[in-house]
Amino acid sequence: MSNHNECESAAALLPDLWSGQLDTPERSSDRLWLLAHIQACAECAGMTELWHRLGGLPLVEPDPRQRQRFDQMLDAYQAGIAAPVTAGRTLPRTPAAAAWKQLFWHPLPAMAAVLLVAVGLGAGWWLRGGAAATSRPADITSQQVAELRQQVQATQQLAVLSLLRQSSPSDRLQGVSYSTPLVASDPEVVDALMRSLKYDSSPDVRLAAIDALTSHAGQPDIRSGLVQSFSYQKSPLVQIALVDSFAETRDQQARPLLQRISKDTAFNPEVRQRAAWVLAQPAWN
Amino acid sequence: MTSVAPITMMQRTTSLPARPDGDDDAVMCAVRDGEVHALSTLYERHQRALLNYFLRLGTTRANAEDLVQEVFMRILKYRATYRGGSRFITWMYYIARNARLDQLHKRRGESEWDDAYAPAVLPGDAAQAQQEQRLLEMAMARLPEEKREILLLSRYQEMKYDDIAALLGCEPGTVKVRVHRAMRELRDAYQFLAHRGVQ
Repeated sequence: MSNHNECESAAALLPDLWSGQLDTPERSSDRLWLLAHIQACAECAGMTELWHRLGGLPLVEPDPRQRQRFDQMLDAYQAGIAAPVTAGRTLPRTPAAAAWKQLFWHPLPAMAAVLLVAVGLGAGWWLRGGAAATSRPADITSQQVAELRQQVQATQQLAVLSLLRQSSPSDRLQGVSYSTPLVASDPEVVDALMRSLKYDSSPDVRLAAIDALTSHAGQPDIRSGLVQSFSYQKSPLVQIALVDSFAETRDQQARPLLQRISKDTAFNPEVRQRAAWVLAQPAWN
Repeated sequence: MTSVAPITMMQRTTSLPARPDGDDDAVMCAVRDGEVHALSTLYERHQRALLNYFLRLGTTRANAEDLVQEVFMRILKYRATYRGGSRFITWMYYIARNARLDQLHKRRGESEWDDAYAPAVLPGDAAQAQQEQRLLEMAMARLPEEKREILLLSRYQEMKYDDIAALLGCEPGTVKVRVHRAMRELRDAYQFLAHRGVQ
């Protein structure tokens, strides 16, 4: 029979034994001690046996049709990447222009970050000591705090707008990601996201823009913007994401568009099926 | 009769080799850098584990299949944000957990447990083994979700404690403690069901 203290020591080692982490020469003494303890302790032996039986539970095999579904999704995505962009900014193509672009455009995210930090530090200095020369911290009015908040928001906006103009899709994705807290209150950021959704050359960026805008689709302008942006999309994956966005927001003004998509054979079959599926949901009837 | 090798199916969407030999991180870096077709390799490797992860968390079969597709769609969508040198499996389960939470949020109010989902039992298994498997499945289902999840991740998903710690945002030592507690609760639930007798 094993004592309680031994079981407590064993409790710290059992997960290592189960995961194979005691199978090293350095931990062989722990392993030997624990195996001896398990021999004597029915509780720890029972749990170890259960762990082994847990691993023996049969797994459910995937339906082969899911593989076809994945292949269709991948095909649609690749078709989307290959699809021409309807309209978009043209970027410099000559080596000199590209070098110029690298030099002057690529540092912008870093500059934006530096600007954000500078504003934060400046605000901190001003609130804590710098402003003390002319007024005490207690004299800081709510108006001054509001002004500071505006300045920070303006800097955030600058960073987002700069990132969305970068040539690297990763930078633009980051811009979309940073835009989330601003979408609710900043029409300029919303406009920039709408432009990305319509014209960005990367389906990834357009997909991320859909996510960012859909989370604020309570605003009528954003809802109608999402519907209008559909006609700019060539990528079936982006089209499906927009259809899903309409389903999520239950936007009735998207109904005629969904009806058209579901019947128009010019669209990818997956997109048509998705639109038909959304229209069949109880929320739309 | 031999079954169709996965590589044959993979080639349906590919024009380049899908790097089946590379580790997950190398394959995901290739996907990130534009070899989108290489995602087929990751799908082949992980779809079964992901499906069972969702199923054992109580998701219905249809929803679990949707979630697997959703995870791989999100991987494509956010491939540009993948950082090489990290553990792909941690990143994938981060996406999987978020996808599941989003689905739960969208379908809140709907019943999630799939009563039709029962453990598959291989032909020829003894009745007692079947009964024990069923008991164990039921005991797992009785665990609180966070305990069930930590057992799923550590027992079935080939995740090390360090990976799980990174996924859950805690220390590896905390993961070990949670694994032990979950196992103790599983044992109690199992013994309770065995003592009561399951119909």
